[in-house]
Amino acid sequence: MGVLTMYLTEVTLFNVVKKQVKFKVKSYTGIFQSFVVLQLLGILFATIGTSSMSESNSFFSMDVEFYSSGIILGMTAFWLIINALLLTTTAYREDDFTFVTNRLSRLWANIIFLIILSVIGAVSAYLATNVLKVYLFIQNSELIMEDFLSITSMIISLLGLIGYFILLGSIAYAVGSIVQRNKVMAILISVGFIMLGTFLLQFQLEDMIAQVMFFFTHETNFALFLLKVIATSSLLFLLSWSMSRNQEVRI
Amino acid sequence: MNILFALSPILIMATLVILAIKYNRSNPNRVPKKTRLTSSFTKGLLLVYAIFLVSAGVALAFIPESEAGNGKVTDQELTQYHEDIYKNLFEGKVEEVPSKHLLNEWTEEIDGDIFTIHAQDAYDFPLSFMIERIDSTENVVEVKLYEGIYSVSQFKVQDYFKGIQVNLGDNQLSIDLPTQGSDSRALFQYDFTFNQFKENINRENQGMYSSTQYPVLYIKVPKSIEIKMPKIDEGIIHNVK
Repeated sequence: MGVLTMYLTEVTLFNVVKKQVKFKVKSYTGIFQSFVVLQLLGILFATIGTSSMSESNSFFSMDVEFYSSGIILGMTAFWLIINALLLTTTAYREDDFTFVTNRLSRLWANIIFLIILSVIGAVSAYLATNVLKVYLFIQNSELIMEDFLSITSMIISLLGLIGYFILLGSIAYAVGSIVQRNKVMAILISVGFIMLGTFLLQFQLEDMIAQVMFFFTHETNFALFLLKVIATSSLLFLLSWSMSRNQEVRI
Repeated sequence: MNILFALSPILIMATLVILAIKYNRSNPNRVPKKTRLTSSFTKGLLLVYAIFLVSAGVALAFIPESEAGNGKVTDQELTQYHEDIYKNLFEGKVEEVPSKHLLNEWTEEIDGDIFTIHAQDAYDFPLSFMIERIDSTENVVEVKLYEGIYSVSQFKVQDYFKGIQVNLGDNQLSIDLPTQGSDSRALFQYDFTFNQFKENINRENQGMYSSTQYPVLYIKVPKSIEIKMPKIDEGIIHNVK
């Protein structure tokens, strides 16, 4: 005689999301390996220097090499954008259905995972800047460094960088979601970008793009910056959600 | 040794890549990357990388600041310098120039009625001349030398005007320009993300730029004395009214 067992354990959205995030952190090892490689590449490229200046007259000649951590940040941002795009692909979407899941839990898990990646990326990019400084000092003992940041401004700028990374992640995730929704959209977006670029160059409207960037980069009030990032990222994730909610259900 | 340091990032990277390939080949239970849960290799890699980053931070704490970095001059200070020296001296307000900017001063009684200023012929003469003609019965010439500032991205280059020799005697003022000097330096700058929320920062003027404000030679000469200035371009002379 068979025994019928019923399980009445209620699965909450929170638990599902938590499990999915844990799974992603533990299983997407390739993401973390590429992260180390790209940041090391960033440090390597940063040692070349960003620019140089030379001035000379009849009584003095001056040579200055400029170094900056921009390439490290750029490489980290590149890593984040690629992985945010990858998270929207079919292969990664399939993984999420290893667990009891729905579109909403998947979106939340991906948002949290992107935030985790942004935090890891920002903190490590900060620390990688120290590697660059130490290396440059060994190379050139006369290296002049801009003022050391105070603890407060360091924390604020670190949070700001996390904000930028979350913003970039949300943009990439939204683009990925649109592309996954409809492959024609991928072509349309690419053509759109090229046309927009041509149009802007032809009519010298680069300032328009700059103004959009200034919306974030010229914001000196940290609270307002955070508000802008949260609002924009939320809208972009909402767009991703609306793109994926009507996709076919996996059986 | 320097070559070794220059190649160290590549060496570290190459070591990591070789280790990764070796591990992947030697692992018989190799499963596709994306489905492998908690790879010990990745854990190890991240741990080593974290130690590498943190130890660099610790090492940085022991790095002394470069002496050249002490001469930082902000844009506000540059503007103030211009106000203090140029604006005041243009109007003949010598007394209002803060004494900290005065490098040297000379006084000479002229024998005769001709005062000569001798200098090398140079198209980029590193001095500004300001001449004030005064009503005086005494044949006394007063010369004051005020400091100049040359800065690259907010850092003063102390040696830039070093070596300008000014001498007053025998009814003449002679100026010797320095021989060709040189300086090279490396400058590490934070990106805008580090400075975005900082107060009192000039956001328009960041990055690579230099600023030059030449030293000023302020000369007071009685109107009764004739000034001769062979080889000096009149363009660098300002007559104070």
